[in-house]
Amino acid sequence: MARKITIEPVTRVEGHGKVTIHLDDQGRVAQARFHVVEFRGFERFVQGRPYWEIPVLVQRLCGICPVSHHLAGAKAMDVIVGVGPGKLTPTAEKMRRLMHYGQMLQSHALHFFHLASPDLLFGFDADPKVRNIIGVAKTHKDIAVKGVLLRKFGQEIIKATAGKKIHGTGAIPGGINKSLTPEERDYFLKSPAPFNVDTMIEWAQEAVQLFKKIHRENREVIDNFAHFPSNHLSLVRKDGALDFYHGVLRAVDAEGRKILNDVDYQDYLEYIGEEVRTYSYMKFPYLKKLGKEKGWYRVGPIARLNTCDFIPSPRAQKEFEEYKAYTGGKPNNMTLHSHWARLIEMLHAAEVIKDLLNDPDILGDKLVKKGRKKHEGVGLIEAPRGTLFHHYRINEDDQVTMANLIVSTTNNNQAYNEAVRLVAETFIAGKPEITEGLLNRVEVAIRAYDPCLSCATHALGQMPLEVELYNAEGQLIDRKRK
Amino acid sequence: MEDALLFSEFQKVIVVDALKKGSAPFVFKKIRPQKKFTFTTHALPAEAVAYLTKSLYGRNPEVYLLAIRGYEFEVGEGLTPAARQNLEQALAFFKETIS
Repeated sequence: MARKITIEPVTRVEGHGKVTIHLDDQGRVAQARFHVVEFRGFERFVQGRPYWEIPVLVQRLCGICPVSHHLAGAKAMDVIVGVGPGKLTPTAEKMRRLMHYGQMLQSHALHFFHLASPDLLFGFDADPKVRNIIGVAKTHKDIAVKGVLLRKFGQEIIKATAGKKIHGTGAIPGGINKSLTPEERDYFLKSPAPFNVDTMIEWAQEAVQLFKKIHRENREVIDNFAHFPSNHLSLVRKDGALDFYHGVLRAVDAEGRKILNDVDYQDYLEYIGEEVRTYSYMKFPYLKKLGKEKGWYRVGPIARLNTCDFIPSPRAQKEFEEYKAYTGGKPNNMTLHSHWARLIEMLHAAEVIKDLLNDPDILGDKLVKKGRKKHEGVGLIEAPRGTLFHHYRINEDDQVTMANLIVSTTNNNQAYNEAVRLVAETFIAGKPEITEGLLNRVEVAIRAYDPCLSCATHALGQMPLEVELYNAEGQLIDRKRK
Repeated sequence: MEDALLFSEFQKVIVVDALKKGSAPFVFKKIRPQKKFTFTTHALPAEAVAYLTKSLYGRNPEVYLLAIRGYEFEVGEGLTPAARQNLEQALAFFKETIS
């Protein structure tokens, strides 16, 4: 008898999602789907608002990475006020970069130390009472303390550049509204250890070493877990360097062949399509060149390190070379290696923050520029979880008439489905039942991509998962809660 | 999580928040470190933060919760007259307590 298993996280936390696994008569996985109910009302309710409100409005999309939405919206508005890419003042460009790299540092630290490290340190099947950040705090206190301070450092950078840690107002169309004072700069550069940028670089480097140690000890599990080929997409700097703030769009296939060759993202609609499927509210973006079936792609840390040619900071570049050597220079398609990639990015963010703090332009007073107004603008940024698209049109009264947002989670939609399918095939085939092992691994697979959904599925001491088993007639025959 | 670090820097901490259900005008109580966790790190109870303060930083500040009763929590709404009255009483109590 064919059965359907539903894994449904409770709906009280953000990033609502559920997993359904359809079994055939032999108990094999016939289909696995990951559903996300993302609130997309923003695209509608920003319509009619004056364009200059956008950078502040859209960051309410997310409490984890509001800075990314703030800056993507601001970049789109830069185009609208005629101060597009490359035209900001050096102070404005560098202050925004500082804000964004602070965001990358804090978000990556949050994801790895608070959400992912319990799985890696204790194992996927460890008791949920231990497999959480409190467990890490008890048994690996040093790691937990460093995680807290790395995140705090990034948050303080955001506060200094955006005015607040969450939902700041630093970026405005055509520039920024503040620069750093020498005192603010020195707070990050010269505070007694550990709260200074040099210590953060050291700790970020240690975090990369920690992952490599865990990898050496669990190579087979980490390499084989949800390992699947895919295309990869991200921004890269014009010379091919990793760049989180600005660049051209590049996509490569699972073998590293370029699919999108460094195109201008203002023209993204020529290259990216969005498919609607009946079972999910979330769209499925794809590369038009390859079509709906073959054109899906991954974004985020693992994609960025697959698309870029090098990392423009010395310590991260050295780690990048080792990372790339592991796959013989080919793209890395191992889902759990996204943690490795994320930590290399965190190290890079810390290095760039130091460079920016030492740049006299961040103390400058030329904050805003004006240009010739346009009625349409696209802003792209590499958010912690991946490429983030913001596209707006305005009317003659300066009101927004159209908004299209493709967020990182949406870009990774098919990747979630693939990861869940592989986990299900491995842990359910021949055993038509809901097991702890299956639930744990579905959670781990989702968490590798998205910390917001991690929050939805990663309980502290208790798994917020509900599993329901249906027969072919749709009758509920079993239910398990964790 | 970072609040544990903040807690560790003080001998006495008062956490102020809105109260959806419970006594008006406010509740003031001492809380103790507890492994009291909810679904997500987005909502860490003050008891858990106090627990982390102790386990991560070896500090055990006195932690109090000042929970002020509110009545309407919809987006864009201001304070109801009753909630404003509760807030004023809580503020007066707070000032008296810290002085």
